[in-house]
Amino acid sequence: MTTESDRYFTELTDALRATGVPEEQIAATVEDLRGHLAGTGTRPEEEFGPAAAFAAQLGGLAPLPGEPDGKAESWTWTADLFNDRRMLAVHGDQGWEVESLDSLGRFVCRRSATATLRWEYRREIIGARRRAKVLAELEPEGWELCGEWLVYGYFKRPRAATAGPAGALEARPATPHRWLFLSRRGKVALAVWTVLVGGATAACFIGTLGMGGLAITIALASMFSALFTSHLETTRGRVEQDRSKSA
Amino acid sequence: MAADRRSSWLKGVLDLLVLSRLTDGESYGYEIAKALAEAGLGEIKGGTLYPVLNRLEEAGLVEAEFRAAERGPGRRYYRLTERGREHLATESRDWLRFHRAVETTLHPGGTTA
Repeated sequence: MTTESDRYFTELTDALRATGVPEEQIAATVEDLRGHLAGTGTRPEEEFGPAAAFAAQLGGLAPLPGEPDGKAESWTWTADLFNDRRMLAVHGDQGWEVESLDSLGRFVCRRSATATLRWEYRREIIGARRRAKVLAELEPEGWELCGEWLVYGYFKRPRAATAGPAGALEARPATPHRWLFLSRRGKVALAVWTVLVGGATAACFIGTLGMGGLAITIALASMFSALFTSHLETTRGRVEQDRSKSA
Repeated sequence: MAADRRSSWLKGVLDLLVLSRLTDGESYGYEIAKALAEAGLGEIKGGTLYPVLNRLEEAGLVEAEFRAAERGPGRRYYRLTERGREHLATESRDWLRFHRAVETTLHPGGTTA
């Protein structure tokens, strides 16, 4: 295991060095990756793919996406799991490209001043077992993994991959002021959570509930809210999966 | 810094590199990007590749056709046109001439070590 891991990181280091990545950056990257592996207990090739290809991704030799002059708008927003795909489709059609999901689960987007692409998105469940299979199926179709949240992987692809020049961006609506897009069910879950937590906080102030009770209430409300939304989403996902199988 | 510089170099020649991947027959986006990555040119993301393919198509240097796959939604296949082949030959000569001028300037004595 250690030998295999060492061999992998030696190859990765050499590949990064060959692409001109500074030594300090290589050392920090390898240290981070080793730490990640120690946490997951997986084999490096299984986790990151072949070293040479992974180095190409990390080295970032290619130009930034559609960005000849470095001028780009950025916008960060979020939606609940019932609304994310619809809003991704809307914003992708306006030229917003998701670069990543931040630690709060928000979509970090950019749109270059000279953007010519519309984007399409899809969301897949990519647990540890499904990850390699999903990537192997989607990457040849031009999909790129652009972020992960819980068990979900978000993929992006320029519409041009299937539509050619007809998939180009025609208009560039202004950057939205909103950053939160909740579905009806998401709003209900949030409202219930707010009422419960608000009630518990008020009870805490009055003195009928201690700090421990408040903490437990918040934790339980959050847990049940998460369980409720993920249950609905899983049910919906199963229905969609069955429908696509029978189609 | 080095990666930024290589990125700038690539911008000047990416259209030719993409055309060169079509000289042996048709191909599609992912396959073109993979071939360029394997050639040591780094990962070419979709956001970079497809604007180039669109420009080449609109300029009549490549033709494209979307074909449904047996499994999955299908792919857009690109093939070189006669005009594209001529463009590639002419522009490649110009690029190599430029490359030689750079090489001669950087290594006036002829050594490349």
